[in-house]
Amino acid sequence: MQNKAQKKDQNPELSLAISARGLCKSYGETTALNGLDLVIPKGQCLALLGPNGAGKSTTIKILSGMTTADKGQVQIFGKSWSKNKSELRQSVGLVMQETNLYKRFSVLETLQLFHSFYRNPKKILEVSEQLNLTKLHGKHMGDLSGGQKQLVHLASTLIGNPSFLLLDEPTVGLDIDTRNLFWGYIKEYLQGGGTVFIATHYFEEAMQLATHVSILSAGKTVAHGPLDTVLENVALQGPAMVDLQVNAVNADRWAKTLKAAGLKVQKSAGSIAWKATTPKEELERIAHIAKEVAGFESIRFRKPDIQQAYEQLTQTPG
Amino acid sequence: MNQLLQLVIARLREFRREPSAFTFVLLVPVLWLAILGFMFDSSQDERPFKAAVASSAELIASELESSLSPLVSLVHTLDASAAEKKFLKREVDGWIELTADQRIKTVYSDPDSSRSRSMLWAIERLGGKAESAPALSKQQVVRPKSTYIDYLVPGLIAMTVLTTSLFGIGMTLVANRREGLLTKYRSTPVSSVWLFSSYFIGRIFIFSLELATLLFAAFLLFDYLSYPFLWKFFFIGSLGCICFSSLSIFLAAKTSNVGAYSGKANLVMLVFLLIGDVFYRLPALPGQVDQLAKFLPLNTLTQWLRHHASPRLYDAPTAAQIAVFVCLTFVFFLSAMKLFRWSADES
Repeated sequence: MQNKAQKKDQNPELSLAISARGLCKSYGETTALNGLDLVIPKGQCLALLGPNGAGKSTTIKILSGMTTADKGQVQIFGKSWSKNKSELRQSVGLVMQETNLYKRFSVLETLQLFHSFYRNPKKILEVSEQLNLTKLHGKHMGDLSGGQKQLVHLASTLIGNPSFLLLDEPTVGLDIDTRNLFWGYIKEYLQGGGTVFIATHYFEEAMQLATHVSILSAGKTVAHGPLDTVLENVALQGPAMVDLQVNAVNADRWAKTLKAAGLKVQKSAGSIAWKATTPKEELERIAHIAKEVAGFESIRFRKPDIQQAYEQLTQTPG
Repeated sequence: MNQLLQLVIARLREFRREPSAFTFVLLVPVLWLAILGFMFDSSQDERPFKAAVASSAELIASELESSLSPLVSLVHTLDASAAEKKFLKREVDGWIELTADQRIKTVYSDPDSSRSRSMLWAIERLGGKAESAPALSKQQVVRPKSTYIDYLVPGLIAMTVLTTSLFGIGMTLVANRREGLLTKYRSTPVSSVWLFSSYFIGRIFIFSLELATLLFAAFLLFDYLSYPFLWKFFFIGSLGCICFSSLSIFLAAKTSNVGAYSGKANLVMLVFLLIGDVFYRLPALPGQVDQLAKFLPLNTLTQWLRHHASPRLYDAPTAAQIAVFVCLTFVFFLSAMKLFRWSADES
């Protein structure tokens, strides 16, 4: 036991659910991934954001073992798809955006079918109750709403008791209530120790679920890490909102001086805010002004939200 | 094993709950049987008596030809047994051979038919005309009761196996691929061997239903009794299911569009039916095509079924025909596995 624990300390890879290094994938002359790196610690949720064509779907396909990368390595719980396929199929669940399960099968029949595929499945009733599907057991899939179908789809995946869940834009087209329900179940799954990878266009979804974020642009990771760290890094690279705290006596002088320097400032008692170009330039500007005007107290760069960070990093409106 | 059981149940559920498939699979073959059976089984043509002439009688063939024409038309065969086979298959109305004791042996059935009577009259006239003509002996043979239905039913079974395999399995696979269901399957631990096996097993279950319906209808409409060879029909038909299901998976291996698959399947059906003798004997095809047509899986299957239903009338397929049938089944299946795409956008 001790040896195992020591090994784990020495090898940080063992605490990772997913480790992808230098993934490259091309379709003909089109490069989908160009050296993508990703890591997800066990029990965490990583949201993958990126504009259309950035390589999100290709990443999902590679991580779920549907396709192989031209170059690079993927390890899921320390195992590779090429050597441990049948084992990984038991522990990795995939929920896609659009899957039409048999429309003439009832919900229960659908769950029974998928239940039979796994070695250690959860009980059908347990999953159904968890997702409020018990009352729909007798209904045919073709008679369900889009949201209910997606919940059955999630149930057919969760029934396998996966340790790692891959979600490919799972709530596209769902109304806000169903989306909230869906997120609630994913949060429960995370609290139960599961690991989640979610490719999404919804920033709110990322903010609700993700502990880590990865932003893709042109097949490469432009930001990756814990959500707060990514946002802080973006804030330091600017542009961002700057909050300046100054002595109330000198506030007018500060505002006047900054306006004279060409900045569009908003003044309130003891506080002046403006949109910075880059933080470094701002700091130099403040340092210069502070030499002439007294009363400087503190300066703070406001963290962007995830959408602002995404727009800034991908140069794409979210 | 539970995986396979659930998958087979899923295949049967799909079939049972698809009204058009149910009609297509069970009703259409019965309609064909009724329409063709009533149209052709009672047909009475007024053509002349058609006699096979065994090579032993070739010496007198020219005399026979000039004497008997136009009342009797002659078909030359290698020997008496080949002539008998043609007679049993109803390709000729009787046969003529020269026996070892130099008698003209004339074999026929149905002495009351005008065609038999005219043939006997013509042969007697030949005997009366030629001094050296061999003596005439007559022999009446009761031909095994064989009707067009005996010919049609095995052909219909083979055709049903082909059409429902092509359209049942291939169409379903293409639609499932388009709807993302195959990708969903692939993301689970379900074994692809079990998945494809479920298509074969499900197909055989459905075939047993088709077979029972068709044979029951044949019994009701035409007194066609199949119980002596029922299990042989089931066994051979099941081999046909595996062959044509493999062909169907092969055709659907890369297709994501139902229309495109339908085009491919119709093209295959057209070729199979054009040079297959399902409904009626085709006029002689050009030599090489005729030889190739024998190896068409549909023709091998039809011939095999007909042989078991009427062994005296129809030859069993040759070892070469069966070998080609088995090889094609493997080629279709292995190629399908090699080319198979799980998702519509897979390259």
